[in-house]
Amino acid sequence: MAVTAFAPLRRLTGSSLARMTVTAGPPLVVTAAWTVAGVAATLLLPAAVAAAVDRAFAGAGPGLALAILVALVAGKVLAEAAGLVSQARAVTRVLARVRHLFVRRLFVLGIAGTRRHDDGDLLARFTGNTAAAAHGVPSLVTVAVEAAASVGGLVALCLIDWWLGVTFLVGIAPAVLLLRLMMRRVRSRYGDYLRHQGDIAARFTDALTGSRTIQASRTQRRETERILAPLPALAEAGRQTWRVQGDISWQLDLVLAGLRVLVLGVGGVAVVQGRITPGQFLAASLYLGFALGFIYLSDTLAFLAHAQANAGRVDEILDQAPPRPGPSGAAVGRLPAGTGRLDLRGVTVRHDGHPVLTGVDLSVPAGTTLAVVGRSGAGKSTLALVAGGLLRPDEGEVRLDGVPLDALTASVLRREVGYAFDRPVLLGTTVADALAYGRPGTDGARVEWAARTASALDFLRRLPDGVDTPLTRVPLSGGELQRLGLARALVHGGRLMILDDATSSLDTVTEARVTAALTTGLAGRTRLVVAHRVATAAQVDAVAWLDGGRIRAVAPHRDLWARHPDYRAVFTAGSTP
Amino acid sequence: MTATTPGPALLVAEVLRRRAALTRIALWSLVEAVPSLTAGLLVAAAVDRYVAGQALAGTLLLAALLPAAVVGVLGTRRLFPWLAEVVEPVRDAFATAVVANTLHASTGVGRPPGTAVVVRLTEQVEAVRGALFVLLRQVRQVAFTVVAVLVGLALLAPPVAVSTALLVALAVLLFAALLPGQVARHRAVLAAEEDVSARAGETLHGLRDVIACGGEQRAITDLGDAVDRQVARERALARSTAARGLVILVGGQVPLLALLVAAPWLVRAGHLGLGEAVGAATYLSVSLEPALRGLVGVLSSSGLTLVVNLRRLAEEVPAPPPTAEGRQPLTDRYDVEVRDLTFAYGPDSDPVLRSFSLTLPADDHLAVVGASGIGKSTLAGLLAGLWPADRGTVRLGGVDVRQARSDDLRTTLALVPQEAYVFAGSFRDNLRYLAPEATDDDVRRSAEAVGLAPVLSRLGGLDARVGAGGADLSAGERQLVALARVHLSPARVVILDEATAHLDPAAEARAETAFAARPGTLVVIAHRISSARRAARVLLIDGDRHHLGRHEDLLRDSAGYAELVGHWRTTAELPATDPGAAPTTAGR
Repeated sequence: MAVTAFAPLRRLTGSSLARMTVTAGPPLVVTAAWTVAGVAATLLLPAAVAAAVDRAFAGAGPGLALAILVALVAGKVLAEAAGLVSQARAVTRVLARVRHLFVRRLFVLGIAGTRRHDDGDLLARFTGNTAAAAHGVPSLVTVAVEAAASVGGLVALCLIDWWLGVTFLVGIAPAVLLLRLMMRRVRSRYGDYLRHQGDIAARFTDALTGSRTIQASRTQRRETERILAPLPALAEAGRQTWRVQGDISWQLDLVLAGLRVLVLGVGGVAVVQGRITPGQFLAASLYLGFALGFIYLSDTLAFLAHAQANAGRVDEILDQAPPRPGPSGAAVGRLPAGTGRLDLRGVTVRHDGHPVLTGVDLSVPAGTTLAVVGRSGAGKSTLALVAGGLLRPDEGEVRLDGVPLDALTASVLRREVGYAFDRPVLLGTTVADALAYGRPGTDGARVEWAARTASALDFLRRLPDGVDTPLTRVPLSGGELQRLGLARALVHGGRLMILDDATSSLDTVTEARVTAALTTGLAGRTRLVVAHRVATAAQVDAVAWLDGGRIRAVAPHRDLWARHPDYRAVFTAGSTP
Repeated sequence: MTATTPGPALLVAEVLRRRAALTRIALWSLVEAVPSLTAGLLVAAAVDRYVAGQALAGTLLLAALLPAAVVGVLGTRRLFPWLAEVVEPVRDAFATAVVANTLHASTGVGRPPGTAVVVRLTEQVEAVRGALFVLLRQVRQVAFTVVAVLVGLALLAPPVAVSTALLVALAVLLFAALLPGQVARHRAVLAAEEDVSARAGETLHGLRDVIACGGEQRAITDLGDAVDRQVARERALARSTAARGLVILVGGQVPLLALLVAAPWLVRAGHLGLGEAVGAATYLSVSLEPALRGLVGVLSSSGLTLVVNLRRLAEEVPAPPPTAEGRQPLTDRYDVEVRDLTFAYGPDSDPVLRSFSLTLPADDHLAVVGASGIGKSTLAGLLAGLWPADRGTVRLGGVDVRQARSDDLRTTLALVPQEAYVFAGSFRDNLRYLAPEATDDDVRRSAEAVGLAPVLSRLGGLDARVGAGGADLSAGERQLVALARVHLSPARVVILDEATAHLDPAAEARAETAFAARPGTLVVIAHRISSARRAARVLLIDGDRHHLGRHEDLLRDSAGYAELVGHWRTTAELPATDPGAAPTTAGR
């Protein structure tokens, strides 16, 4: 609670928070109106109380003064309640708008735009940062009103008796100085506390990751002790933080009491001299409280600065330029008949300035299967993303049955290209819903066919409610997850199917069975398969050998295997699944 | 470790255990309330003197506010450490219960809870600590202030004290009536916010999948609906919060109005002097109203936070089942006898194992093979006694593993799962996890045996630190650490559950050979068929049927096994395929 800091206020003009505030619209104006009304009533109350007290001792009836008093109290209560409701309206309006914008922005940015951010970081921006920023919006109003109330209290003191105002101003300077001196001595240990807390959390996370080992070793008790080892240090740091709070609290109490005695003493003398009435003396002691309100203003300012920092983090995403924009107005609503001939021409992709793919030319005849093979980091997954239009190349183009992917509308493109991944993420409510994600209206028979083709039906039947089991209640091994990812791609359909290492977690038997079923189930469709295993490469029509982001060769597996020791090395060195 | 649920009961028990601290808090609270008690009395006396023209006497009386404040400050200073003496042990108790229960209870078959859970639990325990402190600090202070005000009023103007006490009681009742609705709405807001967070996390994590499925609209709609639900609930909460203005009106503002309405009458009847009226008004407006305002504010923020987080902790971290620890001691024997084992994941689901029996004599070397998802890992967990079977038993040296003593099991049986456990600490700590007495030489020997030695020398030996989660190690290196650890342990029954999945075939062979050379029984849940060749016996799980035998026998007798091995053999070598319409590189 440093008694400084109008600096944050300057930074707020034209800031992210200010921009967000504009979206709050009418509710914020209403909030401001109610807040001002509430403060006005609050400021008038002591004067009305003074008048009522003085009338009572002048022997007069309660009369008008009391009526005004009642009206003021009622007005204050009403204004506070209405202000609270409209403030919530303003906050939630901003929150909803920002979050809706954020979600849409994510899909505008797409994979290329979001992969520079960590998932956890984006989630924190979407949840915590948007909320903190939105809740800061009404504080812009509060700051102004609190400052006005503080000034109003001082003005009222001066109006009652200008000596009171002078005394307040004379007393406040050393009081503030004294407070700052004392606060400086208080060093917060909160950083220590957070450090110990993080230590325990990290140990706990470790242990949960290894929970099977811990259970099998029956070391739960020992692990509990290991995780909680920093607890005494945490408790000690915790005691320190409370001590700091206590110190701040009593120092503030003492300084305020001193100031109060000073001002009231001057007020007493004014009563003796007949300059003010006893009622006004009472009013002065109330106004003194308002005038001192500015001491707490720094809290609100700190809160505003915090909200501004949060709003800034949200804006970084909302303002991020989308990756290379596509040609406008060239949307093709449907593809010509065909079975999925895929052509890549001079495709180059850069990530953070480094080339990932360089000048890739590749043609996959309709209905054939091409395997993409190469060491880790050769650019295989990037090639898979580019080939199906999930990632736009920085240079070059990709055509499906002769039409550039750029020219296709998003819905056509997605309908014609199906994907299965190494580590698929299942979305939706139940297993059946997850398999038909993005394909509303898919019938149960198609889902079952896909699950069977992907060899997933057996373990799905073992689930409590079969395919209707909620995803949250499905324990999946890596291999089971991959088979569901394949089933999803099969439900999806399309003339081009891209399998990015989609069977790597299956054991060899299951993989062979799945591959055979896919070959039958996807007969006539074009497939692009990223593969680590010899078995996969050996069974396809041709192999594209990727090395350092460039195509080294395209040929049947047996030819490459026979001619190139380097090619054989791809499957042995450092490429365990 | 006692099984305690981190819920309301634990909080009450822990707070009540600190009787000494609570007594001190009460005593120092009395001292802290001195300024509140004296303020009105002193002001009343001072005003009377001022009105009588005695400036000096009046000022002296006012100046007495300062020593009163000093006394109060003394109370505050002495009070805080005692508050901490209540709050910090409560946090310790909750942290301990959360960690112990979670570790004991996460035996579940599904995936273990991850980082997000730890973050949430930490936040919830922290919320309990913070809210408890604020409540102890503020609610107690308000209570003492209200009492001080009432006592002061009684001394100044008894009728005002009576009316004020009645109104404050009414306000408290009103607030108590409003509170349950507030709690429910607050919980609803939190649940909605968590729903937003969970859905957003899913969408972000699966952004690539959403786009690939063409599910953008669905994702935007799902998440947008969650956002709107949260907003609606937050507005409902605000509306009900606004009602608390009534509480402040009744308890904080009406008493002052009542005083002022009655003042002329009281003055005429001689019940109230001028100074007394000013003093009473000071009590009501400077002390009572802000105190009540603070009380309502704190209870509807910190109070709700406390209640909500206590309930959620109690729900999310249940007490572990009392049967978790067995009592029977193990013998020196370590033969394994599986009888009639049946296991299913749910009451309506197909059993993964049905009436399965198996005998493993001491020092056997068994490989378990079969398609993925067929139940090999489930069998490994059942052998280790990790979860109860629906029917049947696993006996280790004649003792049911579910009944065996934990300390005995730890030294007799070891399971290495696919996801290796490596914790923050030195390599030595990690490796001696199951053999705390082992010498550095023993540790090095085991590291050498399984193939961890090169990793150790690269990273700086046994003293080198491993980061949290084994961050600096690859998946394969983490598996080597887990393997060396069990190799070093005294366990006589070792189960490797795809424990070499991230190693290349040569490294896998080396590790498995090291375990085979070690005394004791070895069960390998095979990731590659090569594990079966090295084993003395092979168990093939094929749907409901099981085949057990030597590699050569199975190869001859089981078509399924022959297919498995044959498949592996052909794919490792050069298969013949028809290139068909071979794709070409354009321009070549």
